[in-house]
Amino acid sequence: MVRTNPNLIREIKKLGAFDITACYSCGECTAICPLSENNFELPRMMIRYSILGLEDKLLSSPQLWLCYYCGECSESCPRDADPGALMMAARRYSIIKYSLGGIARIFYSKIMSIVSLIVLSIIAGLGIYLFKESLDLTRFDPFSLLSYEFIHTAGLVLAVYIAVIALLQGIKMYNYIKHSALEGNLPAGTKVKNLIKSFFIVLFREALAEQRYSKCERQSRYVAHLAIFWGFILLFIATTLDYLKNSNILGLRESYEILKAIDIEIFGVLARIIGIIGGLIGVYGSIYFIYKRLIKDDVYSEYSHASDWVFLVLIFLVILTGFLIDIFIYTNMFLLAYAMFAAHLIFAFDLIVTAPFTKFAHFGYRLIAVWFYEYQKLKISK
Amino acid sequence: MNKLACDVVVIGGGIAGIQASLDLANMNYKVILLDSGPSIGGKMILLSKTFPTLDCASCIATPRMAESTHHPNIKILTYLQIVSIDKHDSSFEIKILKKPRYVDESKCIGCGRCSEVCPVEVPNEYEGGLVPRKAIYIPFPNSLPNVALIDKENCIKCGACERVCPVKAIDRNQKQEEVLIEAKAVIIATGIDLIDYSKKIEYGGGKYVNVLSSYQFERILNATHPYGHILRPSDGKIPRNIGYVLCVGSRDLNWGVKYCSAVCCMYSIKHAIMALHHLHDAEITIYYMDIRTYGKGFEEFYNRAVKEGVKFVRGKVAKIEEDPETKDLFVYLENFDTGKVEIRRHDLVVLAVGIVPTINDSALFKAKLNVYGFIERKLIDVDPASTSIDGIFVAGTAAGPMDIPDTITSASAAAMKAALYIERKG
Amino acid sequence: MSGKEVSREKRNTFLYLREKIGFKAPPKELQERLKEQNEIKKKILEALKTGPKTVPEIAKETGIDTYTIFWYLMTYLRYKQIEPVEKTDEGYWKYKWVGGR
Repeated sequence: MVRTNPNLIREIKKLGAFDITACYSCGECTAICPLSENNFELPRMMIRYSILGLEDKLLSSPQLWLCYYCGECSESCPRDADPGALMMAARRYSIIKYSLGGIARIFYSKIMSIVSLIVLSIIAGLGIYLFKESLDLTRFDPFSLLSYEFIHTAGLVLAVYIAVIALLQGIKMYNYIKHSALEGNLPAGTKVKNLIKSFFIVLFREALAEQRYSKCERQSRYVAHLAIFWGFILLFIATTLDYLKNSNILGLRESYEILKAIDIEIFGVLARIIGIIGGLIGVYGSIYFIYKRLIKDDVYSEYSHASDWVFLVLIFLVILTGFLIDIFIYTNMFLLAYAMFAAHLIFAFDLIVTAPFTKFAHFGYRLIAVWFYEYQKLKISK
Repeated sequence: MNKLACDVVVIGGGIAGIQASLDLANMNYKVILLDSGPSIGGKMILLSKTFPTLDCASCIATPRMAESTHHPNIKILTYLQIVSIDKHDSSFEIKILKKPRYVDESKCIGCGRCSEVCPVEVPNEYEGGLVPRKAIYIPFPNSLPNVALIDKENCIKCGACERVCPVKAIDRNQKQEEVLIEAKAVIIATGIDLIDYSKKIEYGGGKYVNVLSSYQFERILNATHPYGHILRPSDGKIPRNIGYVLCVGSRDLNWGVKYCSAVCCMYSIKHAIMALHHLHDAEITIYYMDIRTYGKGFEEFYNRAVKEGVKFVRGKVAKIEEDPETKDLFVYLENFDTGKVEIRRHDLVVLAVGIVPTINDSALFKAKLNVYGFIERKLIDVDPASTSIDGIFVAGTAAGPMDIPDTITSASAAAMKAALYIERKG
Repeated sequence: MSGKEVSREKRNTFLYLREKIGFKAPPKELQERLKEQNEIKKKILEALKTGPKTVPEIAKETGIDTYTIFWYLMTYLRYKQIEPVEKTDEGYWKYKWVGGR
């Protein structure tokens, strides 16, 4: 039995696919798609599901997440129905539906998302204000702003929060896509070997290199997307190194002889170098997308949903402030570095707390979908 | 400047213009029939057969062409350009520019010896560029007037034609001449052109030699076929596997036109049946979105094609790729029976190219055009032959896509309306 | 026509052109294209004179691509200088030279 949601197409249209009802189902989009493959056809099937109101079918389609919106379908669509926008809007819809209790709905309304971000920023700002220590202006010591214990605990709480929600929502998504209409479904005869093999394929090819993305024709966009990802990762590594340095390697340095031999300053130097590289490429990537979304010269950037802006601007601010901390430390402007550090903490807090419900979540859902896809491919090739 | 006078000027010498001229001439009105090309006959004379009866197109068109040529009430002017159409009270003044043929029309007997000796070979536009023609040429075998003309751009002035011409008709001193025609009414029958499919990059942008337009394939199937047999252009091989792509440019907001071209489904089915009659064991696949068999006997024609073994596959072809070695073609589509993307190989691919109006110059023709550039009918339901200008009437596909029977009906209607108009004005 | 007559005719044409229309040489690219055309046609003709051949066979012999060869062959066909004589298993016609020259 299939349940239909007669309002599905209206809801999806609100999220960006304004012209999709013009579709006369010719299949040109599917045939032109560089990522369309046997068993994983994009995007006409998704259009049919949306228009027919087959919500469960739509949500159980990993194909949604295999699309990177290169825009070729929209460019060749004879009805100007913009199938690429439908895929994008359906992904937004899925993020709402996969989220716990549908809470992500907040972040897909312009006003609600801005209000909630302001509230979160105030909470973070208040937190910093209430727990602040006395600043050491002769050098940059993050723990003179907030104590080591505070950062440690807050970080741990946030990490657990993210992990739990990601796990729950990942399971929710999996429960949908395991019922996908694909031939040869997953549950029967799941091979652990294949599961692990496909996991590594996903990790290296998809997460770290975004190989499928490179199949789309716009190389500059692929590079920019990769730049944001790697900028983020490198800044994260830099932050961790800095943290290790300033925390005296978690206080273990005193207890173990072998660690004493390591020059602790090396962590600082490494953190600076990696931080600057990561900051540069991250800033480049996010400015590229902000610019593209402003000039709207490409299919994918023509329409920007509020959620796109919030995510993009937030990630830009986090990378920028992280990068500026490094710059200010390097130029001995410590007061500014502390200010940036505070701003960085606030933006990072906003980004992390909202991550499972905003566009940020596409990273996780996409990895699950691609994992599913790679696993299916291994299975079919047998 | 030459001056001529008549009752009705018919612009466009295709089957619509000829029909309208004949009807008026038979009602004893004086008609001047104008055609911008070197011969009358329009598109129909170049077609192979008509659907759905598979009658020979030129067997229907040629007698009408001949009749109009010999009719005492019809004067035919060809190879010209219309400079202006002006309305004065109850009469029209049409200024035309007759282009020089460099061959004396009154002398030439159409023997064709000049083109036999001419050394220059250029693509023959009447054969869709599939084969060469000479720099001095008679447009097509049954062209009327059956007179040669020189393509000055490509002529190397070797003089070979002058040497062989038995009536010394070649006259290089010809100049273009202006003619002023006074008439009581005007009928526009300017017809249609094909959409330029080179805009569709995904279909090779006109670069793949084995991707033909439906017009080119029509010529290959024609009784006077340029190749002698059904062969493909890249190497003269007999195609065993032909793909037929419908809705090329039609119903396509992206690069083509919004409307349905009305005839492509039917002529494609006709081509498929004819090709099967010639190549018995060939496989012919038609890729379609919808088959629109709306007219009398059309659905039966489609059923006949299915019965005779033409394969119909639902799915719009998104992309065509060429094998650079063999020049075979691969078409990409989503097959609706399976929902899967398929890549199919063909020896030859024919594009059922949609149609667009020949003229889109409202300033010149005065009559209002609709959003697609066709002449706007005054009242589409009850007065389809009249235009926005009193005294200017529209016949055939100048008003919108239609098949041959509808064109003839529309032409007769325009003739009748023009006659009524003249009578009313006295 | 003997050679003498031909040259006289040619001279007449030349005189005619000069007197009547003020002869202007055709554009260079046109002349070059014609030269190229004549070379191709000569090669095709040479290949055909040794017996009926298919388009790929002529291409192999002359080194010209099949599309061009087929294009020019069809002019010969139009003026009945060649005729298709035999169908090969690969689906090509063998063309036989029947015209003069």
